[in-house]
Amino acid sequence: MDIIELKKRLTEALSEKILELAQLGKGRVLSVWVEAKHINEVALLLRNESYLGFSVLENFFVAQLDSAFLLSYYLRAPKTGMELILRASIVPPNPEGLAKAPSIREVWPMAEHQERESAELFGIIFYLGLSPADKKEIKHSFLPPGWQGFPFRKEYKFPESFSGIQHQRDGL
Amino acid sequence: MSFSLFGERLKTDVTNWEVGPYHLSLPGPIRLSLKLDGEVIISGEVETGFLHRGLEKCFELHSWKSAIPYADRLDPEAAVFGELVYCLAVEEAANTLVPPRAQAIRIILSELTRISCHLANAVRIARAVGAETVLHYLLRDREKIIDLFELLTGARFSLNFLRIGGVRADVTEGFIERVLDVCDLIRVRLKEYNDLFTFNHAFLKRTINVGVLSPALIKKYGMTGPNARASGINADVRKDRPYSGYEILDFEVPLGRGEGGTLGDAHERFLIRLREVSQSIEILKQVTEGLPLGEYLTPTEDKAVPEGEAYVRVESSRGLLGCHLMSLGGTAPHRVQFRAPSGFHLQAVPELITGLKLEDLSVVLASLDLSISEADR
Repeated sequence: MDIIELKKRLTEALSEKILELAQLGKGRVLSVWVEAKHINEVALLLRNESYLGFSVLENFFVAQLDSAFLLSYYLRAPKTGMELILRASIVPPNPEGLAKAPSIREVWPMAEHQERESAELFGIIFYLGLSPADKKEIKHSFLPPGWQGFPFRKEYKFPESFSGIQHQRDGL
Repeated sequence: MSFSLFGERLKTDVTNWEVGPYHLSLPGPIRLSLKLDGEVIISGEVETGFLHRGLEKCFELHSWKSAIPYADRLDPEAAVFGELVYCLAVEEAANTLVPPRAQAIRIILSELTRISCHLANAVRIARAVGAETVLHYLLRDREKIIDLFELLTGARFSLNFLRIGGVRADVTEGFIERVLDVCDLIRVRLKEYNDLFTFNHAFLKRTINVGVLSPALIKKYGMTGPNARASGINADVRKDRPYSGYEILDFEVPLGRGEGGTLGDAHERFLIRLREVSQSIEILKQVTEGLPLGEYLTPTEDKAVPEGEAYVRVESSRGLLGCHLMSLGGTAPHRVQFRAPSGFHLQAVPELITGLKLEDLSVVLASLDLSISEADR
């Protein structure tokens, strides 16, 4: 299946859910934008439909663009060798607040580690089910307990000290 | 609860064990919370993050060029792969061409690193099974490869040798001859390792049918590299999506065959790595014999990379290593993210160690060849 055929099939299968179809990088990999609330529905279709068969989530990438977070799921169909990037964006309610996105680990279990990492470092709650539970905090495993803020956010200010240890020295 | 010992039933209680974050049997700083029934692990949880350094954030704070040494720290044992995947991603985003000579030098460094890492892994397996003699032989031979790095780059571990558009310097005088000498030496040594490991009754008993990774488990957790190939999954970036000139090289990708034990057991993972060493020697011979003449670096200024994104992948010694970078047209990356294979391998650990005997835990963990450094970043 070439990229034109894939484009046609995606448009047929997901017509009203697609916000944009674009191509990324030199490899000209197709990227399909959907609304974050539709991620799981689209993911299931991409994985289960035999003519698509995107059963492998190779990489999960999060980046901040202005106040929004861009979520990119790099998918691969082992049988056809096709690649696809599924994309959605989410916005936190305020600059310091936690953003919320549906978790895709029930569709692609390999996403768990990368979701956990992004959750902690970007401040995103990945929830299972239809709506986020009333979760106020994210468990720290990469950052020390008690660390404030989300270091991967662009507006993050590095603390001058933590737990009695100076991070920034005078004269440097 | 009870377990049988020489036919006698011994009464045991379920106990909880916390191992780590620092322990000799662990591949690096991780914490295992085990539930044991006698000496059998009935469930296990893995806690990671003890080696998190905010590496990806560091890239955003430096210019494109000066961020390269940080890529060395992704996985210090296999520094070249971090440098290579970052340089390839920047080159793709900036549309920079790499001269054929530089590509060949990159392959030489990659394959030497692969041999060095696989030998280091064999050392860890030897330590886990208590094979004291052979680990000294392995370290002795690995030292020869590290000497080669020193000869070429001046550094033994954090090489800082690759540049955007090529490599920092041309090969030094006598380097190619030394590489070929080391290849010949390792080829002889492989037979020695076979005698000490592969045909060693005690070693076979500790590794055969232990820690079996089924193809379904590999797929579930997105495992790649030698761990996946030992379970019979034919995937290697060097063949599937060739980069840096691997497409013109003739080599095989060894796959698990379930010889002697079960497909995907600890022994198979060990054997696959030894067979990969042999293939790396083949690659090194081909590249050194046909080393192209010409430039080793396309001069580039440390300036802005055009707005856009790039995602590239390489086959590191542990699996598929990816790098996704995003540029907003600035002099520093907007975001650099690594897809580290060990992060995916770690996810399979709780399921893999359930039902295992405690004595086999360190062997199974060593056979997975985990790098906590790249998983935590």
